[in-house]
Amino acid sequence: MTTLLHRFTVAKLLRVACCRSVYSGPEAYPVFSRQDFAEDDGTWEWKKLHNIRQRVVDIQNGINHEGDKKIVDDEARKVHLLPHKIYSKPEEYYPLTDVAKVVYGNKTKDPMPKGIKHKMDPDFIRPEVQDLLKSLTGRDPEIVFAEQTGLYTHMPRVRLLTTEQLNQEIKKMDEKFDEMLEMPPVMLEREEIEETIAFDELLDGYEEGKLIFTDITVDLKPDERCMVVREPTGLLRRAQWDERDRALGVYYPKCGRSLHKDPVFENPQVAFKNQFHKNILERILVEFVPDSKEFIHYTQMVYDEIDKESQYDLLRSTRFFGGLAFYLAKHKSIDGLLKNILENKSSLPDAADLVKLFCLINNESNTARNLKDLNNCDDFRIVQVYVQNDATMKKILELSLQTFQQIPQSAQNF
Amino acid sequence: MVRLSWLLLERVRNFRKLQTTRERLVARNAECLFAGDENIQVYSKLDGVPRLKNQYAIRLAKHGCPNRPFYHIVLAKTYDDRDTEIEQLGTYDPMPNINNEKLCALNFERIKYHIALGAYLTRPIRRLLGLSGFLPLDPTLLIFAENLRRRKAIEQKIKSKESEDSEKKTETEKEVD
Repeated sequence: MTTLLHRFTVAKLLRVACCRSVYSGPEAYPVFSRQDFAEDDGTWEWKKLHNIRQRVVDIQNGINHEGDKKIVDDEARKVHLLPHKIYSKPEEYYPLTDVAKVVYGNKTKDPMPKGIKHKMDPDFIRPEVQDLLKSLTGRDPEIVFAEQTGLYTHMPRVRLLTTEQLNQEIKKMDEKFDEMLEMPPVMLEREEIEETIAFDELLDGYEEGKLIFTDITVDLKPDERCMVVREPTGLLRRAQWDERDRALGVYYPKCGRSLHKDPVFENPQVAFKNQFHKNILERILVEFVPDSKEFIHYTQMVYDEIDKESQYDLLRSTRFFGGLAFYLAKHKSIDGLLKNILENKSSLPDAADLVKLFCLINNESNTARNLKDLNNCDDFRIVQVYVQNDATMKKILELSLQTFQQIPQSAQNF
Repeated sequence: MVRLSWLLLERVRNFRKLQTTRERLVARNAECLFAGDENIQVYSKLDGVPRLKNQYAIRLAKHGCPNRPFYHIVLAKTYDDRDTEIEQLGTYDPMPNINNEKLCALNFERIKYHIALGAYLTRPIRRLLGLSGFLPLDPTLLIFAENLRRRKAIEQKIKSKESEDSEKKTETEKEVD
C-alpha cells in the first residue's frame, strides 16, 4: 500500500513539475511560427518556380542567361493556365483592390446623341419673374395644409411657448410653405431622337416585330442608359422618347406612373364638371416628364379650361398658380385674371404685379414702352396704362378700375 | 509539425484538387498549337465551331407558364440544370406586346466581364448580342433570314398560280354559258 501511495504522489509531483510555474523561464515551451520556416527554401518544386520567376524578371529587364528560350517556350504554352499575366512579385498577385475602379471602371456610359439637353424656359428662370409669381399665388394655410385623402393626419397638440420659440416655429412653417408651393418647371419641348447605327439588308424579314434592347448596368441615370431598336427590315437605330419611357417603366418603375395612357387626359369633361383641375395637374406631374409633349399639351388644356370659365380660385395658393400666370402672360390673355383680381379679390398690388409680369415677358409691347420706370409709378397708374393699350375687355376693366379711383377721393373728404 | 507531412504526402502522390478551367474559341485548324498540353481538351459540336472544355456558359433559362415562355439570360455551369444560375445577366421576352415589340434586357458590363474570362455563348445569345450591335452578326441568323425569304417567294408564286387558274375557270364557265 505504501508503494502505491508513493507512486501516486510521485505522478502528481511530476505533473506539477511539467506545468508552468512562476519560476519557469522563457524557454519552457518553444513556440514554432511560420517565420522560423521562412528561411528554408522548401522542396525542389518551390525552388524551381523561384528560379523561373527570377529569370522572367531578368528577361523583362533585359538580362539574358543560358536556357532562356526553353523557359519562354514553356511559359508561352502555359498561358491558358495563368490568370492573365505572369506575376513576378506576390504584391502583384494580391493587389489592393480599388472598389471604385472595379465596380465603376467598365461602365457603359452612353451619352445622349447630338448633345441633347433639357432646356428650361429662359423667361421662367429669371428671379424677378419667380418673385412675382410667388407673390401672386398667395399663402393661405387653410388651403396649403388642408387634409389630403389617403395621408395620415396627426392629432393636434397644445404647447406653451415663449416669444422666441414662437418665432422659431413660424420660421419652420415658412420653410414648409416653400416646400408645398414649389412650382413645377416650365421647359421647352424636347427634340426627337433620330439616329441610325447600322443597316443590315441581309436581315430583311427575319421577324415580324421590333426588338428593343435596354442596358441594365447598375448605377446609371436614365439619360445615360443605352436603348436600341432593331426593326424587321434590318435597321439598327436608337430608341425614341416614347420607347425610352416605356422601357424605363418596365425595368425601373416609379410609384404613381403607369405604362398605358389614361383616357382622362383626352376626355376630361366629367372631371372638369366636378372641379378636379388640381388633381389632374398633380397626376400629370407624376406621370409625365416636364420636357415631354404630353405634359405641355395637357397642362395647357387645363389652363385654357380655367381661363374660359374663370375658375382661378381653384388653383390659388397651390403650386400650379405660377404656371397658370406664366402661360397666360406669355400668350397675352391676362384680362380674365385681371378682372378676377379687381372684382373678387379687390387688391390693387396683385393687379400691378400681374402687369409687371406681362411687361417682363413681353418687352416689346406698348405697355412696356410706356412704363419704363415701374417702381416709381403707382399701382393704379400701371393698371391704367395696360387697360388703355393692350386690353381686349377695355370697358369692363375700366368699370372695375373706377371703384379703386373713388376710394382715395372719398377718404380725403373725411 | 504534423501539417508539413500531410502536404508532402499530397505532393508525392500528385494529388490534384479541382482546378478551374477557362475556355475560349479557337480557329478551325489551330488545334495543333495546343497539342503538347495534357490539361486541354478540344472538341466540336454540331455548330461547327470547335470549343475548348468549358464550365461557364451564358444561356437562356426558361421561366413562365405553359404556352407562355419567358427567358432569363443567365451565367451557369454547363453540367447544371437549365433553370439554375450563378448570376442573372438579363431577360428576353419572345412574345410580342400590344405595340408588336419584343423586349430584351442585357447587363453589358457583366457580360463583358464574363466573356473576357472565357464564358461560352449559346446560339440564341449570340443572335441577340449580334442584333443589339454589341457583337457582329451571327451567320446562322443570316442563313435563316435568306431561307425565309425564299420560302415566301415560293408561296407567292403558288398563290399567283392558283388565282390565275381560278380566273381561267370562271372565264371558261362564262364561255360555256
